[in-house]
Amino acid sequence: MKEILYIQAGSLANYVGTHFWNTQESYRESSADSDGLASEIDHDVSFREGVNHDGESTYCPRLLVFDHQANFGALSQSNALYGEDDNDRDHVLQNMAWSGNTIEYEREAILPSNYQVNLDLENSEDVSPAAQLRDIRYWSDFTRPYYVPRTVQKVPDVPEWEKESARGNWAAGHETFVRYDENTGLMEGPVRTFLEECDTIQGIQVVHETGSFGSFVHSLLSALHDEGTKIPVMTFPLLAEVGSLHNRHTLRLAINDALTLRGLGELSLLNVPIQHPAAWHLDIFESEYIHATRSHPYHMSAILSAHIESATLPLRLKASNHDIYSFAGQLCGGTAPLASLTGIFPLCSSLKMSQLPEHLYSLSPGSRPRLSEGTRSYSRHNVTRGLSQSAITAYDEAMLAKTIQWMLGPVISTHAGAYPLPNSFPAFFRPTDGLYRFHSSVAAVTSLSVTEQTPVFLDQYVKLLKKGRAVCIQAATDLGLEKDEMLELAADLQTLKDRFSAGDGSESDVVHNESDEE
Amino acid sequence: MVGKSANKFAVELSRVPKRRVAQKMSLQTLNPKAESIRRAAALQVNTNGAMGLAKVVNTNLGPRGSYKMLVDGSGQIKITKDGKVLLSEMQIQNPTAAMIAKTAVAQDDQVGDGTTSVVLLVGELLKQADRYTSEGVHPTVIAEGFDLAKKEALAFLETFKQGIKLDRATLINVANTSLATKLNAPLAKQLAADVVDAVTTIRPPPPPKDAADQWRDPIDLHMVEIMKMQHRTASETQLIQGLVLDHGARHPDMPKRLENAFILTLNVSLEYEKTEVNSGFFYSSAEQREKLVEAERRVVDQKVKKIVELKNLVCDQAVESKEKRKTFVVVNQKGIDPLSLDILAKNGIFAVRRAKRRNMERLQLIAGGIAQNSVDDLTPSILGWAGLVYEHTLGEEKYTFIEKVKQPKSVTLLIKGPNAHTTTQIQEALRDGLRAVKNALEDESLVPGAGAFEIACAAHLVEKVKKKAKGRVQMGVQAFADALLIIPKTLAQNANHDVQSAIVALQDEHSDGNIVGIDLATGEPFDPTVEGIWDNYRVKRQMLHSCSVIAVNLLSTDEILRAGRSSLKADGPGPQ
Repeated sequence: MKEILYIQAGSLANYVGTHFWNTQESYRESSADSDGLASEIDHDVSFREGVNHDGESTYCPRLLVFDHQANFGALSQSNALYGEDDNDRDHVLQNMAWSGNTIEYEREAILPSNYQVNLDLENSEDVSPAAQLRDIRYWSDFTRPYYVPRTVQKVPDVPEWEKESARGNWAAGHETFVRYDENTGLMEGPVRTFLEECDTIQGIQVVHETGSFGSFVHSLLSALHDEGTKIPVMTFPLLAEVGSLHNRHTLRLAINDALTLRGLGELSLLNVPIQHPAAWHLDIFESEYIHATRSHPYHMSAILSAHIESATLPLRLKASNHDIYSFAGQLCGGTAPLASLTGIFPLCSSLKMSQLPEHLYSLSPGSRPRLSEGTRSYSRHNVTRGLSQSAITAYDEAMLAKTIQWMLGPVISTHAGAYPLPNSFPAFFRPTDGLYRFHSSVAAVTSLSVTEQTPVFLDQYVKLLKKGRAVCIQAATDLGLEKDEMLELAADLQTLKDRFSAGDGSESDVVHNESDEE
Repeated sequence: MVGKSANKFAVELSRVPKRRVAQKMSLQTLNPKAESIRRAAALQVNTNGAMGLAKVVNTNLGPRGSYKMLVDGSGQIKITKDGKVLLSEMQIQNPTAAMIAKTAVAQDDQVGDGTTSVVLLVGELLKQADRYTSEGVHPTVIAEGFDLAKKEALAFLETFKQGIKLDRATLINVANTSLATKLNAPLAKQLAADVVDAVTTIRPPPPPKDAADQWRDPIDLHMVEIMKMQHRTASETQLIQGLVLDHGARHPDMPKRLENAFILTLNVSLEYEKTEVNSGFFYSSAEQREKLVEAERRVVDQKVKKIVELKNLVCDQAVESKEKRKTFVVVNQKGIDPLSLDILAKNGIFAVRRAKRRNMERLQLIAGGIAQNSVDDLTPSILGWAGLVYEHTLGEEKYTFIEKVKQPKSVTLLIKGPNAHTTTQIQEALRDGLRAVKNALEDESLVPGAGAFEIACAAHLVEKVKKKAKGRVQMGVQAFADALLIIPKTLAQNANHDVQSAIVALQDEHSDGNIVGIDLATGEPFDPTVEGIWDNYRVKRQMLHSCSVIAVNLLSTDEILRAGRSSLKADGPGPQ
């Protein structure tokens, strides 16, 4: 068994994670009676087997979910599997070691979403109605699996009047972690317990929002690292929306991202930064195949989750030899632990394999939405979902013929079954004939790559930090950063970037998106 | 009895300022006195914030205080009576209140108790100050009086504390005073002895009499492990002269119960680990990969082999030997993979993996031996010993008990309870009790409890200090003295006694020259030292210090500014 411990932190990350786990759950649900993709997946990689207090065996995600308390919606630590009595006030009161008064303080109850209500009513015969965008208030509104209590980690809310200054506040994030660990025993409790259960853990997979949890997660990973634990870490930081870098607030977010990226450069074996959806190419949301909204995280997280799920699928396949360590080594061994995520979702059957590259859109930061001629590729791992046998043949032929420009670099390919669409998944596909649309799944291509372009986005941070505008220095001070530390940070990011350049002097090829006018 | 209240979870404070601010804004342009109005508005915000926060926690105080059950939006429950926990859990929407909460929580971090008292005192200090400032006295005059009163109160505390002999009976009283504020009386009484025994066991020995350096190491309460066990039927808490681990062996063939066990405490990975080089290797062939894997595996096997060799060395006994059979236990902070477990199991070794970091330290204190960071220097001398090691399974949870040790210098308090809330409740109480006993031992003195110090100190301030103070500073001293009485007042109120008559009776009795606190059973004065009700000296000292620093700060605020904007504008009441 090569277990993975998953960590999600921040609301957007939890939207992504919720789709991810619904997908895992749908593999598991269908694995009993199917011989397709579901049976190829080793569920023990992501799920843990347990026994609840009623002696029933349970199968729950090996997962830690961090978010601010208010973002959990109707999701409680206890559920039908574990600690059902723990939310029963009378039961709790009767069993207290206290004979005096108890005063109740209630927050307004958040009712379960329609989807959750239907899910509870669902029996094996009926198919419950699908999740609707308008019903999604919290990411927990469309969660399918049950979690063990220790998965749910409710971090205290930030006071209303501190919300603005708390976002992207590196120093405050560290403080929050230390206080949280102290109050809840996070590291010695839930984290350690999950690790103890693993026979041969392959690593930790993290998806986190940098604005709200960048520093928190950094502190958590550092704490693990400082204990001398050599568990490989793979990260998907969701970078903040940094539009124009003129006001103190957005600058703070940018510097916070820079700190996050440097930290992950040291702690992570494979770091795949994801740019904020506001900066994604419009085609990702709108095409002849898809009609998704940018304005609700439910849609964008579904697309992102499909790619993250596919990209990491080789780590969960029974037949695969990959684990996080070798996976990261193959991708980044020659450069630095930084890769880009690109893909096509959904994939239309009419697309010729030789045209794949120009249709890949990028989810990672970088100026260009698509790949262009002459970009040097160091390594790449493609995962295709739901290609027909003839399409796979065509793909292989294209590879052998090296007709596709990026295939010049080393490429590893994994062909797997179509991406499943549980009814928690948004119904945002257009009814098009060309779409590989099976009963309840869709075709897709995801590509994790390390190319010349991968580290280019680091430039904008380096420039920003070096320039030392007054407002930028102010923003850095808010985060607890001195001026010389800013320069040090710039130098560290430059070093990270330099690990990519093999000295072929293709700098001229670099295009900067972020103009730095004053 | 349960008092239900429709209180919102979020603390909503300071409803006043909103309208006032609107006034202020218009006045500022017209009125040259705008500056003083701004100051007054700021003070008003602070006073409201402080008093509002005090109102939230005042029902916590004392053995007759109330528990709080916090229910969040998802129905998830948290019960607490701890001021610190309560303040961290509540959504405090008022910046002044949040500032007070932060400082009060810091008090808890330092001395382990007194959060509620600090919050109460700050609220009362500002309330008392308001009586003067609302009549035009400048806040800094009051602040000056507070400073003087604090200094004198601290000096008074030095004379009031009692350097009595801290025998077991006294310490049990100290523990009981603390535990009884969070647990029902019979349970508090039962656990008080356990708490005292736990602390005295882990206390480092005094330096030898003839040593030049008479420094005695402080008590490290981390060396008391508190282990929680959820048990449908059993509800008990016991002191175990040994260590309880919250995990067990991960191999079906390992023995479940061992006697006469050598214990190896280890911090060495026994897992197949990748080489440290960040190698971007592409295996050129499957065989090459196999070879690499094999080589790595051999490294791990070698390590395990060394452990087995040590086991064979110390456990080797002639078949017909009359000696008790010797066994071998490995407690590892790092991982142990199935192949390694297999080898260990085949050799009759019981092994647990990923032990808590602190358990490495605790184990050495409990079973002896020296924790090892490598397998290079394994000799019999680094091994610890325990008379009994056994595994206990409860649902999916496993526990390992290491008991019957020779001279434990660390212990475990094992809490069994029917649900997570009850065990957490007892855990919170035990933490308080442990800290109270530690503080007493290290302070080498105690302060009579049940409000006795506050009554005496208030009288001292009024009778001695105020008279010596100059002019208007007297007002601040008087306000400080009046504010101190909030402690006995709240104790009386929470026990449903008439507050005014209780305080009058206490003051009367005190003026007769007695040490007097409030008997919460009757509401009458009594001598807390006779009843064994003691508070910690350092908690009182820190309390006096914290509350006056915060209060003086709040009094001297000209305007509340944060992130470049006035909080007066931004901090209306929270959502309704």
